[in-house]
Amino acid sequence: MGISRSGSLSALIAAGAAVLAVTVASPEGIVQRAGGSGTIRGRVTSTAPVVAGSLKVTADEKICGPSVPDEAIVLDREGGVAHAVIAVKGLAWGEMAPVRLTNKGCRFIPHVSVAPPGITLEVTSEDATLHTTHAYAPDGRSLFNVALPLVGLTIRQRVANAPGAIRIVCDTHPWMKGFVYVSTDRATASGSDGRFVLADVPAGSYDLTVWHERLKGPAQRVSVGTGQTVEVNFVMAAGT
Amino acid sequence: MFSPLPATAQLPDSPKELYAATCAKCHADDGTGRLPTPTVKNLPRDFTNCALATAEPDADWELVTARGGPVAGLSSEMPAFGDAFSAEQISGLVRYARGFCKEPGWPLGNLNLPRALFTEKAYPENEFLIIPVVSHTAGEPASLRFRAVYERRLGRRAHAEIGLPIASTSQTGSRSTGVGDVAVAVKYVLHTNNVSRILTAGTEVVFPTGSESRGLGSGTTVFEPYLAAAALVGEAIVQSQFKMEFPAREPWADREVLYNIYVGHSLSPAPSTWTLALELNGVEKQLALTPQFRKPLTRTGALAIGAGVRVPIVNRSSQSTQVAGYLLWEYLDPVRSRP
Ligand code: HEC
Repeated sequence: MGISRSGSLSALIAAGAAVLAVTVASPEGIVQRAGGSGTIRGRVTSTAPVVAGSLKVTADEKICGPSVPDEAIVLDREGGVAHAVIAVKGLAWGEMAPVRLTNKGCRFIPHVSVAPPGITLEVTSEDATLHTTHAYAPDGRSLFNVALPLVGLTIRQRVANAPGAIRIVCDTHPWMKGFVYVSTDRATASGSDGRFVLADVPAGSYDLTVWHERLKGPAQRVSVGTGQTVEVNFVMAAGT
Repeated sequence: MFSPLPATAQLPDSPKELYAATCAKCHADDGTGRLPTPTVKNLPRDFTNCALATAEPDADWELVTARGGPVAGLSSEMPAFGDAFSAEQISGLVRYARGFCKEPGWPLGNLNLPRALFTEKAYPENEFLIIPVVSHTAGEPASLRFRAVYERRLGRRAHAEIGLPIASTSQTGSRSTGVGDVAVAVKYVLHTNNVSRILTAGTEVVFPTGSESRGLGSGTTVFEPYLAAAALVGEAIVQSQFKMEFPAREPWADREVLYNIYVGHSLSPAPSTWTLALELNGVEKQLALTPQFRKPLTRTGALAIGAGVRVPIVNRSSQSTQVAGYLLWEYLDPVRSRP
């Protein structure tokens, strides 16, 4: 089990497969990385029950509203997991535009973003209140903490060189949480339906890892052939 | 991109309103930092507590406001406002925050200048110091003196201290080591404009606790009244002291006039920066120069060392060359950076 043609996905999820992998025409045949490239795409799911939680707003209710959604685990109706980070081991990043992090409605948007080491983060606010965007390295060290007292002010900050999940909080709105996942390998975050796409992946075999702030999923090996689209699915379980 | 208003139009001009719209979220409208539901774990200092809120220079507070707490070893929960506010807005906010201390008469930390090796500091301190001095005169074995000094502020402007020396000398032919002359001192800030000038009067009384015959003490009580003044002149730190020494009995020791002038420069406004300085030291007609440095060992500046060499330049034969230093601990300040 665990191997399927792309398209037979929902059936497998229904079957409750723990780990899904990949189908390609000839898995062994494309380890060479000559020339062409393909696409890795897929979906991150979880069988955890959907709880559309919300966090109580304890300051600036006029601007933030009475509550904000709890984004620690965001599942759609089919169990798609948003805000999971899929990284392709050994695959370099291409040119990257600065990563934008917006304080909006007293939330961080996006809740999770991915970045190569040392990239510039553009922090901005659309809320007419004082936000602070405070970044902590995975080991708990504070990396920076910038005050955003103005709508539209953009502050540029280089993110850490060390890979890992940088935790972002706001010290005036304690419910606000976000992550910038710094990865030396090319990575992307899943969308609200749990789907992700990594295009222009040079043909070859790769290990894919998945990171989520609360859930855990196993790494998987995939092979991508020139012009192929490989489907990889991750099923996440509660982490420890 | 988002705002229909020009960014600056969103903020009030007056420091009071700017403080209320921003700083007050953590420091509270009244400056105490006491809020019904604080959003930070490391609570800020109470700005209305003058003893805590006056000892730092404005420049430190401006630096912390612009660059955030960690620049001074404080909590990273104090965010950096330097990208959002102009230097004028920040100095206005710091001036406003200073105003929460309502009691007159507390000298501001702007005149809390780096300690010199010999020139008395005009600003009152809560410090514990270890002061080693190695003296060498041509043709004689070196003598060594350690002093432990405890200093404590009293009220708004006064300061008291006690110094316990241990000396090791060979003046009498054989080496002797023991307690030297214990000194007690008080000082009082006579005047400061809180920005660039301070004048302090003090007196030290040195008791003959050290054995004179073993070369560890002077054998008599000595009264040492002094004036200490300091000024900031552009980028330069100027400190000076004029002191008289009156022994209680003649002829055990002679009456003497001492004077010290220190000119120094700190390489950056951060509390952990290097300070380089040159001191001119005079005792009657003997003159010496002491090039020296001071370097805090922690980001908070609560631990620091200083060291230098006192080189005789006039009447050289009657003076010794000294290597002097200090290790100081500002015991009310956190030594470790806060998280
Ligand atoms: C998000 C909360 C927060 C905001 C907003 C904030 N501060 Fe602070 N501030 C702190 C904390 C926490 C500390 C204490 C850090 C410590 O003692 O470790 C602090 C410390 C300071 C200090 C250092 C005082 C000292 O102990 O020597 C100054 C000065 C200061 N803040 C000024 C300001 C000014 C001016 C503003 C507004 C422009 C401001 N702060 C806004 C949280 C905040």
